[in-house]
Amino acid sequence: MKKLIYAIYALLFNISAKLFKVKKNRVAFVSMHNESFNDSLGEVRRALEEKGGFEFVFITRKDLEVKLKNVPRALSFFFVKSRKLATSGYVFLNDNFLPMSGCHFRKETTVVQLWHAEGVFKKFGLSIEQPDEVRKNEIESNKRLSFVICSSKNVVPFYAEAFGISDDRALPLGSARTDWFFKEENLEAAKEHFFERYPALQGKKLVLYAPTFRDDPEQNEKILEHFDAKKLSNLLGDEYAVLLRLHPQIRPKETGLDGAVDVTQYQDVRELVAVCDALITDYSSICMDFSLLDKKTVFFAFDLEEYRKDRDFYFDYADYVPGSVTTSIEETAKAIAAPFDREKNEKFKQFNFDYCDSFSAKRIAERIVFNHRN
Amino acid sequence: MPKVSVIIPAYNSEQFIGETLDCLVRQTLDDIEAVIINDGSTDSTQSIIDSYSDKYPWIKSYYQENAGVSAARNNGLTKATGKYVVFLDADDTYSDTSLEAFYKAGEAHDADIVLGRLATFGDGIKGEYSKVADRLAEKDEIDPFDIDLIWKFLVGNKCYNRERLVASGVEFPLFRYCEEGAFFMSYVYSGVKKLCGTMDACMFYRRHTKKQGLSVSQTVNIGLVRSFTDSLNMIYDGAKKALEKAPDSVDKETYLQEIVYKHTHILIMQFYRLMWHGDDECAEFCSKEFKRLRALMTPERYNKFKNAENDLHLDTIAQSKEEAAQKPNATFIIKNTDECEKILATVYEQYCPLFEVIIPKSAAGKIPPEYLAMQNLVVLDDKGFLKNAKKKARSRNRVVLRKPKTLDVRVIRLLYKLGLPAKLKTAFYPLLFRLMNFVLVKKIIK
Repeated sequence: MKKLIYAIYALLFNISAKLFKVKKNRVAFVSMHNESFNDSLGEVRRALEEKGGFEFVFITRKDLEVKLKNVPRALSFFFVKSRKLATSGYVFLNDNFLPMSGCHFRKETTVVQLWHAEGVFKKFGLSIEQPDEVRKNEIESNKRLSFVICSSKNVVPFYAEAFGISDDRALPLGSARTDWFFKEENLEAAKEHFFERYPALQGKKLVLYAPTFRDDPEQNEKILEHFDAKKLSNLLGDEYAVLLRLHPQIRPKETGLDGAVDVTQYQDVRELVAVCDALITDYSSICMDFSLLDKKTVFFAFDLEEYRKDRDFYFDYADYVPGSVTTSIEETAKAIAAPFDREKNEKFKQFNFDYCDSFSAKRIAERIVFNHRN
Repeated sequence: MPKVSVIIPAYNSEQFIGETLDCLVRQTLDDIEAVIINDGSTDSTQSIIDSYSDKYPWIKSYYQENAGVSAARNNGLTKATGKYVVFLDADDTYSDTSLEAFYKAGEAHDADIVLGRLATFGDGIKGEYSKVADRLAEKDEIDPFDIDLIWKFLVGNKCYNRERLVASGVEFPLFRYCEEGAFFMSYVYSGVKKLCGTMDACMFYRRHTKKQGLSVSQTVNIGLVRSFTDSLNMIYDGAKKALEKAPDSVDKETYLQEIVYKHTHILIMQFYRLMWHGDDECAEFCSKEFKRLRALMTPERYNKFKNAENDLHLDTIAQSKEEAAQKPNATFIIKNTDECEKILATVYEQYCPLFEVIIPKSAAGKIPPEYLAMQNLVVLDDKGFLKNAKKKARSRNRVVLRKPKTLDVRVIRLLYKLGLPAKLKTAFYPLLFRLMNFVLVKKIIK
């Protein structure tokens, strides 16, 4: 079914691409993750808006939802947005967009993958083993990419491998998503929003628990069995508050939340990063943000061996991560209270980030759009 | 030490200096400084600068009695403290990543000079990238004797390692024209080791709207053409000396020919062709200088140039305005008294100076006296004007202009070059003239 939908989409796209000329000032943003564009796409859009004179096209997951009330939107996606995408001068993506595999862009169109994560941690893209069909589709989609943006020179070869492109097309211009963290006004606003909603947490040290989503539902259930929030809270004492952010697909049982504040529904995860003092995670790339901001992360990896079988890492896990690795709640509590290992964090940060500033979206806009080369 | 110092000479720049400083505020590189030298401005330039330096302590300004752009840049160089230094004019701008790109390329290659892109804007142009600058900016390593360097003298798209530049002792010569080229090439010839390019830096060079009519005369005069010649001679002599030590892989003869060619090209295209906007001395100087350069050129090079500019009859180049007026390629007959001045303004914009103008006596009192002093302007009695004018015209290619209209500056030149038999051309000249003008003005051909 999906294959058929993609094929129809590609057909409509290709007809438009043949018939119509590219509009250099039309810029498409394709976001299969979220609709709020509070990520790299949004930052690049802002950089373009500052200059002015662009027309934007937005494509989100909602456009592809198969629901009855969604019919008009889906029709527009197929018949209007396919043409707009085909005639865009620039297309920015933040994830794989599989319908693209059959789409043949005109050569004047620049297609840029911004990706939704920074640095390297878990293997991703073509670096992981996949079923043949998926892989073939991904390779075909990646052929449409003019450039992939990454966050440092060191990670260029990894991004080149993950997207099956040459090194010179993986541009280390920095992550536009992290620009947000370096604008003072955002941090102020984040604090304001957060404490307005959780006034009781004011003055406490905030520890965020954000585990990674596992593909296997059984494994997902285990996460909350292992994470005893109440115990952790007790061990840490009154000075601390534990926040919990689960993957939207993990339904927490009421009991699992005891002792922690559930912030799963909190809209902008960047605000949580901004207000929290420390992170507990296992394999989530959110640790990149904490490292970038010189904040502590404790890696509570009770199922490391099992996870590794499923999704390997680029480097030795314990050696590479910017914090201590724990397997029990007691260890985790101790690690949270211990002093920050600045050296280990710095090494990780230096490797993954060339820029600690708010200008990456500008760099991308300048390099790709304003300072265009033929 | 700041990473990059931006030296900005400012003379009566109130109109644009805000834009220039804004582009520095937006730079992605941290730790930069702006060194503004107010070259005796008499407008509000200083108060605009002050409003910026109050807000941004890294924007510093110094005042000097008016001494010209070269003196201001040299002055700025003594005040700058950055590891690298760039020179930006007070009406130009950089793309937001330029200073970061210059700095990174400089550090990565330990470069003496980094070259970026260059785009022209203003006067209806949005941003036209220079192909020559792009060819250089693309390179990781640029040969000091790369011929492209000769063709892009503008100072703004180049970044220098400050300490090495200062140690070389090279300064901006106090010429009024092309001082940027003399400075840049002198430094290149002084033995710089490493030049590299970066495509992520771009200087936007503002083109100012050209004024119509004789008011452009400030751009063509004996002082400027002398300055230009001094500059190019300085470059030629410097090149000759530097080439003695250059490796054998450099084709020395071709390199020197390129400098002579550029010299000739600008002399003819920017000065000689605009002789009616300049003084008598300027035309005479151009002609004399051209003959000297002709002797330096290889016959092949000369013939190629001569044929490309055949409407000027360069073998027998007119030595003065007087002489140029004697052998026009075309004669304009202006049959209009009240709007004669307007028509004259468009006619004297012609890019080929070899033309003649005939006007009726009744118009002579209504036009600025400068026109009457033109050696190629003839005044005839109103009685039987048209008939008389056609008879007296020095060229058989005659066009009667009855009312003001837009004339493309290339019409006479291109008509001369048009590959039609001369007799046919003469017979249909008025028609061809209108057709050619229409095609050019409507931009049907470029």
